[in-house]
Amino acid sequence: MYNSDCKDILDLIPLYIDNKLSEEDYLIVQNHINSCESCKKELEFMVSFTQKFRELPQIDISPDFHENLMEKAKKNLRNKELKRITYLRRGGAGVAAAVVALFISYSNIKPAPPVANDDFNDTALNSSQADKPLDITADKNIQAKTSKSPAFINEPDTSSKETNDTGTFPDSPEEDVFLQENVTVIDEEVQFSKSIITANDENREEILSILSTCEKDSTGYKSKNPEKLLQKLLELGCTIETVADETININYIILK
Amino acid sequence: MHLNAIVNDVYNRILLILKGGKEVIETELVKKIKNGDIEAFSELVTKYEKKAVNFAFRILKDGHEAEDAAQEAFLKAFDKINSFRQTSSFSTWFFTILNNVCLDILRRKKRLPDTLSMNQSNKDDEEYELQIEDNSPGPYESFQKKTALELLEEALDKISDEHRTIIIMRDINDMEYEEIAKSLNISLGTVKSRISRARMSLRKILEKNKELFL
Repeated sequence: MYNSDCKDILDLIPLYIDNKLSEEDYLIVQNHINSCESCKKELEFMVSFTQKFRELPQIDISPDFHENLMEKAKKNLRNKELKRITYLRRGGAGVAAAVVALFISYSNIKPAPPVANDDFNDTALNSSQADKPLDITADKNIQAKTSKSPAFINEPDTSSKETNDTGTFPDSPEEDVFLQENVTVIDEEVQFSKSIITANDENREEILSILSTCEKDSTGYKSKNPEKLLQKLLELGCTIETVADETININYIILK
Repeated sequence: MHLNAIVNDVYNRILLILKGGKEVIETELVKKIKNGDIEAFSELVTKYEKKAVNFAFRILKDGHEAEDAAQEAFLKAFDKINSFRQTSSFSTWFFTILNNVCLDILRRKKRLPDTLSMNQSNKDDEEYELQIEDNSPGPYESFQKKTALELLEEALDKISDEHRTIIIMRDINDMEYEEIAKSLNISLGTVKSRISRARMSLRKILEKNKELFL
């Protein structure tokens, strides 16, 4: 039979199983279950179903899963190298030697190493971005591009970067780092992650109007219900891509 | 009286030593990948592919989608490997990416609105939850005798997405509390309260078939 202490003990059992209680609470639970048959059974029950999860059947992966994945990985690497060569070409005279060197190394197909001035490599995923004041507002000059390629960047200060005629940054070879439009950052209170939103001509006004209802501070806009907001933006035609680094989860919203 | 605690402690220390060894090997693989060694990437994929697909399967409940999600996550990890600073283990970092890919897929399928709006946590990491989990019997429960594993699978499907993710991480993938905290970008306190609530929810669902588990 349960007594009045049993309810408290029951609440502690989930963490008792993993030895995540304080030493004091651990001993309280232990002493109680040694003298209470009902709670002892509850413990056994919870241990049993918790451990049983490991017995759940695992699905087999397709025989060609690995091969498909490696082909895609190699293809992505080749594309990256090609883009890197393209940007160097656009850099004009003086990079011919570098281009030649890259063509030679092309056959080795490596992932693009961090380039000395490749701010983006760390820009998009560097948690220090979270600390930089992002002062991008509706007043910022919006360069509306006709290109359909997905674009975002969370580097707030673009004054030192020059875009070429396709609106891409010379030292940002990856497709998803092109700055195209106005960029706004939402700081998600719930999960302490960030969402980057890119607006196009059609939905920019509406997105800004939605954001104007959010609280704003030096790091960006805050939303008390970020998932609801993201759903709304989804309905406006954005797609969401979530990318994480070790210290912060960043949600990127990229236009279709 | 402390014997259980001592045994637990020794067991955890042995696990840590074994995990430490595993991490040294992984660190070397990651270094090689950063230097462009695609074979090293292939090796890492081989190590995690089954776990990744099954993790995604438990969240997405579809085998094809799970494989797509796992592939997407691996490719992202490979693409962004130079941003991985190795302050956590590769698996923590990778499963963060995979979890987020799965979340994106769920959002695209607009499943999230069923669970989202009610789960909040405030700045003190106190979680409050208004979601009502589905404890009602399934269509066959009264007519068919089910195995414990079938009931467990059903129970996992009935709890919230948030609870399901954390149970998958802890009880299926065997992740440490600290790894889960890093992966989900939540505090250790929130991990503890979520695991506690998740297990209590499961207990409530499975209670009527308790005898199958004892």
